[in-house]
Amino acid sequence: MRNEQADQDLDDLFAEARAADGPSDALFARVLADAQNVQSQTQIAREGALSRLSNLIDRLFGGWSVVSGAAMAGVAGLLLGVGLSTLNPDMTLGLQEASGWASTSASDFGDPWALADLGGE
Amino acid sequence: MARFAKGDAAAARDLAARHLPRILSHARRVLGDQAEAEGVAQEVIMRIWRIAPDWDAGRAKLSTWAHQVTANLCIDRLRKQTRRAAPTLDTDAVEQIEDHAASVPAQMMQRARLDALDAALGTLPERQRQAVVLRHIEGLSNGEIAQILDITIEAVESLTARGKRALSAHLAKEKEALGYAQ
Repeated sequence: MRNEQADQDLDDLFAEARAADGPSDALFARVLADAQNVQSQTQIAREGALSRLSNLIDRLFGGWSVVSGAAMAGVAGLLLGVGLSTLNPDMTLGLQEASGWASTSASDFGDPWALADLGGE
Repeated sequence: MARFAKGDAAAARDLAARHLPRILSHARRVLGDQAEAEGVAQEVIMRIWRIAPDWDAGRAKLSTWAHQVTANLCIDRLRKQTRRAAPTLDTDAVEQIEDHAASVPAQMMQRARLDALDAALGTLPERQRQAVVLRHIEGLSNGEIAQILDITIEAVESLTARGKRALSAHLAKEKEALGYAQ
């Protein structure tokens, strides 16, 4: 019975400790100031990395405008090619014929195995 | 954590509001010193800010990780310097308070009881103290405490049981002074 009472008193004391006052406003403010410092350092580091990448692109390719221009030209070329073949397949065939590619057959290249057989002997 | 890492200031407030009170309470009860505990709590929260960009939410619970860092920093501080003389209960002062019970605010008696608890906790061995604080004041499960202190669940059960018995024995001497019924 006495032990039970002692346990109860101790549990009450633990509950009081749990409910005891929390962090002061000053500590809370210090912790948030730390957060702001870390966030701004991370932001500076991120911007630094971006700026270094930008400088590298400037040096190697002449800047973002040149790189983006080249990328745009690539995309435009791709779209033009795909668009043409979809709209008018004969046109691409005509181009192939004009270059003589369409009339070329596998036999024009001879027997590819002949060389292999020679090599094997 | 992801919001904080992206620079969201509100995320910092949310994280601090959720974790700072429990970390501070853990450190205060283990160290028995408010200023030291505030230093530890600030350091733990700083580590949360720094780890935020790399935090893997699937790996661990942030609160468990924070208590683990708190426990380690407390151990470091306790080992570096001899624990300041545990606040001893001035029973004469408490009796004086009791004499004027009608006019004395209840908070003063509560303060005396919490100081007595700190003093009693200060007499426990380091691991026992951490286990008792985490189990009975912070309300963590034995599994979480085992993870934080890097021991088995059986060891946690043993530490908390022995710790609680030792606290009861210590506080029994000051029971009357602390205003507990006989």
